[in-house]
Amino acid sequence: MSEQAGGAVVAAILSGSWREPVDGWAGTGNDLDKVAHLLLHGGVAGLAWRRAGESADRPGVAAAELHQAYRLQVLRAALHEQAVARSFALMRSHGIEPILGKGWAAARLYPDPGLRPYGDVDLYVGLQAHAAARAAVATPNADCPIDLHAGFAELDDRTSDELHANAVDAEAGGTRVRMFGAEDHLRLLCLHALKHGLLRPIWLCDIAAAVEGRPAGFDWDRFLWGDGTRTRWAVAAIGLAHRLLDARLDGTPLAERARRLPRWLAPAVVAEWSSPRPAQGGRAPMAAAIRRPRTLLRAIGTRWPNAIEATVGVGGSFGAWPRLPYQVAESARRSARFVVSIRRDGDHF
Amino acid sequence: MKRKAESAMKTAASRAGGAVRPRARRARLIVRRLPEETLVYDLDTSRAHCLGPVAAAVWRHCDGRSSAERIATVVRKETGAEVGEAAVMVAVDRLSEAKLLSAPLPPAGRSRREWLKQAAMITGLTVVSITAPLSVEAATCVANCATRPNTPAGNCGAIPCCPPATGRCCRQGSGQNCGCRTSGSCTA
Repeated sequence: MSEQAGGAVVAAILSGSWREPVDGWAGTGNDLDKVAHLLLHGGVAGLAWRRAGESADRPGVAAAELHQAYRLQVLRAALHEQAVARSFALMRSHGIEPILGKGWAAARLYPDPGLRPYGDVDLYVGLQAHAAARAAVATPNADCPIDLHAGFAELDDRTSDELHANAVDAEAGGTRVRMFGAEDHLRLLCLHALKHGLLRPIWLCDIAAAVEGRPAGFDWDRFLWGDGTRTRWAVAAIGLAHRLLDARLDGTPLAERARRLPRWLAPAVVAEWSSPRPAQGGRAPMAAAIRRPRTLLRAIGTRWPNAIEATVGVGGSFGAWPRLPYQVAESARRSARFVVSIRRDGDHF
Repeated sequence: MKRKAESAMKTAASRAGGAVRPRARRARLIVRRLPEETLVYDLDTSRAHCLGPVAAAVWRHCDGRSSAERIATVVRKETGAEVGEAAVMVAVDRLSEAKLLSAPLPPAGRSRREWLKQAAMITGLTVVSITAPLSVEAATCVANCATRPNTPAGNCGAIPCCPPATGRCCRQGSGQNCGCRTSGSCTA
């Protein structure tokens, strides 16, 4: 199996895997064995097991592995729900009302919360409330795995008031929690996935599930509103979900726009899925490698931006032009940022 | 042959389990019932367990008052499986090992070991620990690649080996542990 083929098989397995009912996958147990590590690494073991685990031509080690990962995700979903409830209680005890995004909020898009893996609890607070929120997170014995965002990250082309006004309530572990409205959340999922170069297939599944599972009355104008470049990126992300995972765009005003993708875009995603590398935050710190030339070269290699994250990093557009200049520019931007951080923080390593 | 084994199990179970009144532990556990199995996460030990349908039913009916015989009757009705006193004792023993009972069972005597061996083929009695495949944990690098068992598949992770080792932690031939492969990808 070629490097590219692995990612293509991953996409084929995940196609429609979030739907209820789900169609069985027509592939072979051999194919499943070959891409099991890609599925596990990509956070899509649960979805893959749901679609392919029992429909492959023979039960194999890979299917058992995927099933095992699904079981753990079911239990982690329960633990994570409690963590979400605790996080909101903690913030409210400090007079802060955050908005929840990604993770648990994205898992609600699937028919079963165990189909998606969980990390931190992503909480977004306005810049004015950030210092107080940071103090809350630092409370001794807080026991909340919170990823606190100062401001609204990729949604900062909307005001805090607008985002709060469109936010919706849900219940997690008996606690009322506040999540981004469906339009804002879909835009966040799209922009976040692209910012990180769509390294993990689960991010594209989230987008596909959010498009197909959008509530009645979903306001596409609200989704499209905001910075024009970001809007075009978000539409491209939905186009990728359609192209690679067969997300259904019927009844959306994006069907035509989302189908017009530059030639390099889908293959770039497939290549990324074929050769997994740790996402930002999961890599060893660059500072740890700087004094060892061999390790340094490898660290630089794992950080070489793919075409998507490079384009987004430098604020470019998804045109037909070659991506190498964007990658070089993004790499230079990151290096400069790293050097600045060394100068600022001193020689602590 | 099957009848003989069942009879031996019954006798042994009566000897070993007649006085046992197991009580399921409920505190600090997260339980999720799925259509074909029950998943349990132990907040004290951070261990996850998967209970087969019969073991799960036995666990639900371990109330500290019912004998193995009584539990067997209820579980038989509930699951439709041919569950006898011996099968209940096997399940109880496994639940005890997994620390899912409020008090551990006394150490197994020779007779219990014997019927545990004989009952190994009974389906639905499984109580197995769930371990995360390495790649699910999204580790940055694998510190002990060569000591990880080759199976199941995701155990090696295809994740870079931590220095001083180099390469990726890949599956090897059957019967071997994982190994750091320095050239090509794990699928090559």
